[in-house]
Amino acid sequence: MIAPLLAPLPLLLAFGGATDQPTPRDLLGEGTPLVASLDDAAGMLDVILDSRLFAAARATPEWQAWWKASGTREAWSGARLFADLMRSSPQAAFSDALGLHVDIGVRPRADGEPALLLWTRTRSPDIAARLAQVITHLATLGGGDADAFDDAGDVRSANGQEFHCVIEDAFLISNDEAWLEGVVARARQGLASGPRDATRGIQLEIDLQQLRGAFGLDPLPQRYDNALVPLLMHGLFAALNQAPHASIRVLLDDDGLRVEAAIPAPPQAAGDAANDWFFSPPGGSLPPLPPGTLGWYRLTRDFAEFYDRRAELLDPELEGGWIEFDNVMSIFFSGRSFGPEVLAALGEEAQLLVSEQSYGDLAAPPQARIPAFALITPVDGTKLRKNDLIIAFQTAMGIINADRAQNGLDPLMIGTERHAGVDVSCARYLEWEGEGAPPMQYNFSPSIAICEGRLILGSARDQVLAIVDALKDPSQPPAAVANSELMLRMPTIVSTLRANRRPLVADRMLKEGETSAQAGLFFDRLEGVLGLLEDGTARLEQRQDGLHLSVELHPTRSIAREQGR
Amino acid sequence: MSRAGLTDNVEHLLEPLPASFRLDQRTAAHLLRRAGFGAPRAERQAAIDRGLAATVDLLVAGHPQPAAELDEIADTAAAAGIDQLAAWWVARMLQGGDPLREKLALFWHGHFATSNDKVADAGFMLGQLRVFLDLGRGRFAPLLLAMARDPAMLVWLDGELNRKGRPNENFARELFELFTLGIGHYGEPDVQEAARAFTGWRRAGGAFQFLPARHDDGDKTVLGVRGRLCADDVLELCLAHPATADHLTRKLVRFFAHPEPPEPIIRALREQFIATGLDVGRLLDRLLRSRWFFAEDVIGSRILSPAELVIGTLRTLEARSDATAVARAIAGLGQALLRPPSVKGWDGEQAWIHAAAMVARMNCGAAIAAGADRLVLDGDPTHALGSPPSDVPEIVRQYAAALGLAPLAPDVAATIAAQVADLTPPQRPASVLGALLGLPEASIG
Repeated sequence: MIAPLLAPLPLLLAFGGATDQPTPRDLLGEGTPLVASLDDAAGMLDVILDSRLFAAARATPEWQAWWKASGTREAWSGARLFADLMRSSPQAAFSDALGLHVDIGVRPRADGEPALLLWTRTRSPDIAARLAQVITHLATLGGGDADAFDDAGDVRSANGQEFHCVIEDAFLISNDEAWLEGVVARARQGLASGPRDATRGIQLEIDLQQLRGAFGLDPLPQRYDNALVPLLMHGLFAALNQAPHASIRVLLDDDGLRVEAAIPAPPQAAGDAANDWFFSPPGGSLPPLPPGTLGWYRLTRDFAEFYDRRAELLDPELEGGWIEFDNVMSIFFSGRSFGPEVLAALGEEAQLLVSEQSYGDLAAPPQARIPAFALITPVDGTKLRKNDLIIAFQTAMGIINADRAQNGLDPLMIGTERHAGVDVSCARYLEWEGEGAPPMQYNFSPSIAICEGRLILGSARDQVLAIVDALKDPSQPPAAVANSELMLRMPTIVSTLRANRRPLVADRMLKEGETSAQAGLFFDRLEGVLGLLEDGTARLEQRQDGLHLSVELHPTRSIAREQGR
Repeated sequence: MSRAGLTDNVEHLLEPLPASFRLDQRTAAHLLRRAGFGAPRAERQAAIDRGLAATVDLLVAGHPQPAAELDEIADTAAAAGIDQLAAWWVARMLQGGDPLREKLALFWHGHFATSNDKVADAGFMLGQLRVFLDLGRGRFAPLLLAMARDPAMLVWLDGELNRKGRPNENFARELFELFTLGIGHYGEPDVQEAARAFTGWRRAGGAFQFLPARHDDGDKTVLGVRGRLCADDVLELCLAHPATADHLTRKLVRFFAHPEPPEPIIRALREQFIATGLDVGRLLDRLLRSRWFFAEDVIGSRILSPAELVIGTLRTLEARSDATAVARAIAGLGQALLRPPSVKGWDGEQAWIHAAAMVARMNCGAAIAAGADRLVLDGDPTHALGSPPSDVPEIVRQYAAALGLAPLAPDVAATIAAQVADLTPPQRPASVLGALLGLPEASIG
C-alpha cells in the first residue's frame, strides 16, 4: 500500500529554510533517514494527466501493451476498488485522500526490512474516517479481522501487518506499530506538519549518515578510472560522502519541471584530497552563443591543480597513460610542461560549445551530419603566446596528416585567414580534382583563434568564425553564477536528430534488431518528446552553505492541453 | 565401403533422394545448417512439410528480395566504418531471408580473402561483398572477372603498383595458387608472365580503371599459351584449366558437405561442374539433394566456424540480437569478418578448436544462455526451446533435441542434469542451455 507511493520519489536536494511550523521530521521522529513530503500532489497529477506529453504517451502501442499487462490491470483494479469504496472517481479519491499534504518516512526495522509510515492530511474528518474504513476493508479481503484494535490507543489493524489511525482530518498508516504509536502521540501534541508554502511539489530530506549506517551503503569512490569524472564531479562526490544530510525538491507546474538539491559543505580537513577540493568560484560570463548553438557546457575549475594532483584522484593503473600523454603534450607545446606551464596559462574556466553545421557546400556530404564542437577558454598571453598555440595546432595537424598519408588520403591543408581583425588558423580538405566521385568528407576543418583574450579551438572553421563574431559583439553576455552549467536547446537538438535520422535509424536497426519502421518510430517518438521542450539547464553552484544543484526543463508552451484548461 | 565399391556406387550416392524420402527434424536441421546458418523451429518444420526437393529448389533459386530493408542501409553502414559494415552483414545472416546466398557470400569471402586492415575502406569492402552476394551463386567466370577488377582486391594485392616495366606479382600469384588452379599446376614463370598481363589496372575513385599507358602488351607465355595476352585472356586460361574446376569443387564440397570428401565424389561433381561451365548453383543443387549429403558420415562431420556457430545458435533460439555484438563475438572466436588473417582466409575445421578457442566458445555459449553481452535482447534465451519440463533430465533431453545435439551420450546428459539439479526451477533452463552450448558437440554441425 505504502511502497508504491514511494516509487516515483526522485532524489533531488533543496535545503528548506527554517520555519516555525513543525517539520515532517518533528512528526516522524529521529531515526528516520528518509523523509518525503508531497504538497498538492493532486495538482501535480492534474498537470501530468492534462499534458500533451501524457496524451502522446497514452497513444503509443507500448502504453497499450503495458496497460493490458496483468500487473497493471490488477493495480488499476485495486485503484478502482479503492475509488468505489471512497464513493468517488479514482482521481477525486486520490485528491481527497492524498492531494493536500503527505509526509512519508522510511527507516530500518529490527528485522532488517524497511519500515514505512505515511501521514496524510485529507480534505475532511469524514474522508479520513472513510479512508480508515477502506483500508480495513481491503485488509480483511486478505483474511484480517475488522474488529481487531489496540485498546490502549487509536491504532487499529485488521491483519497485524498494517496499522492505521485517524486524528481529525489526518490519516496515518504504517507497517511498524511502535513507530506509528509514537507518531500518533506527537501528532496529538500538535507536531503534525502541513504544507510548507503554496508551492506544489515534492520535498525529500535525507539523513545521509543514518542512511549509510542503516542500509550499509558504500561511499562513492574517491579515485576514478576516467579523468572526466573527477574533472566534472569530484567535489560533489566528496560532499555526498561526508554531508550529514541532504534535501531535494521537485516542482512541477505548467512552466515546466524544476529539481533542486542541496548538500551542506563537509568539514574541511587539511591535507585530505577528498575533502579540500571543490570548484573554483564562479567567474566570467556565459558563453557567446552564435546562431545554431545546440548546447553548451561551462565549468570553472583550477585545471592546473587538477592536473597536478591527478595521481590522488585517478586509478594508479592510469599513471602510465598519463606519463605518455604528458610527453606528447610536451612535444606539441615545444617542450613546455603541460600542467604547470600550459594549463596554468589557461584560465580557470572552460566552455564547450556545440553547434549545428551546414553540409550544403560539400561535394560529397557524409551520411552522419555531426555538429561542430568548440572549446573556449581564457588564455594569459604573457604565459602562453599566440604563436605557441599555433605551433601546437600545426604540430597536431602534422601528426594527423602523417596518419592520413599512410592511409593514402590527402592531407588537410593548413592556412591562416583574417576575420574581424582576428587571425584564424584552419586545416581544410583540398578541393577534389581527381577522377570519379569525390571521397566522402566530413565537415571537419579544425581551427584555432585567439580573440578577446580567449582561446577558441573548434572542429569547424565556420563555427570558430561565428564564435569570433559573437565575442566581438559589444553586448556582453550575462555573468555566470554557477560553477558548472549545462544548457541544451531542444529545437536545435531535434533539428540535428532529423539531419542524422538515416544513420541513426540504420544504427538502431543493427543494434536492436529492429525493422526500419520500428527504428524510425523510436526516433519519431524521441523527436516528439524533445519537441515538447524548449530547453533544459543544469547548474551546480558552490555557495557558503554548500553545494546546490538545479535542473530545469521548460516546455515549448504550456504542457497542459490547450483545451479544457 | 571399399574404394572400388565407392567408385561403382558414386552415381548412386549422388543421385537425388527419391520422392519417398521424408525430411525429419535432424535432416532438415542438417540441410539448413549446411546451406545456410541453421533455422528456427518453424523454418525447419516448413522444410519438412515442403519436402527435400522443393526446399532445395527454394535454396538454390533464392529469394527475390531477401533483405530489402538491410540493403537500403548498406551504404550508411559502410559510411559508419568497417565494424558497422560487419554488423550489417551479420544482420543479413541472422535474418536468414536467402540463406544459401548469405552462406555462399561467406564462402567466397574466405576464398577471395581480402582484409580491410589493408584496404582501409569500408565502401570498397561493401562493394566486394555485393559482388559475392550478387554473383556467388552463378557461374564462376563472372565472379572471377568481377573480383579481378574489384577495387578492394586491387588495394589488397597491390594491383595498382603493377605497371609496365615494374610488374607486381602479388595478384597473379594468388590468382593461380588460391583463387583458381591451386598449388602444383603452374610454375613461377607463369606467375611472372601473368603479372605482366595485369599491368595498367587501377582504381579511379571507387571504380576500376585500365590505363593503357601502364600496360605491358608485349608477348607473354602463360600456362603454355603464348601471345599478347591481356588480363582477361589470363583469366580465361585459368577458367578453362581443369585444375580450377578441381580446386573449386574440393573447396565447395569441403565447405558444404564433408571436410575429407571421397575422391570419386569429387571427380563426379567436378565433371558436372566443368560440363555446366563452372556453375556453382547447379553443383550445390546436385549436392544438397544427393543421398551422399544425407549419409550418416556426412551429417555432423564439420566443425562449425565461429560465424556458423554463433549465428546458427541465435537463429535456433529465435533470438533478437545486437548485430554489432554478434560480429564482435564472432571475431572473438577467431573469425573477424571482413578482416581475414591473410590472403589464404581461415584454415577452418581443426584450426577453429584449439584449447583457447574452445574456452572462448564455451564462454560465448554461456553468454548466450545468460542473455548477456547483448547477444540476446529479448530476455529469455530459452523461449524457443519449449516449456521446460519439471524433470531435469527431461529438460536436458528436450533442449538437446531442439539444438540438434541429440542424442547426447548418457554420461554427458547425466552430468549436466546433476550440475543443474540443485538449482531452483527458474534457474534450470538457462543453466541447461549454457551447459549444452558449452559442449564440444555444439561446435559440430
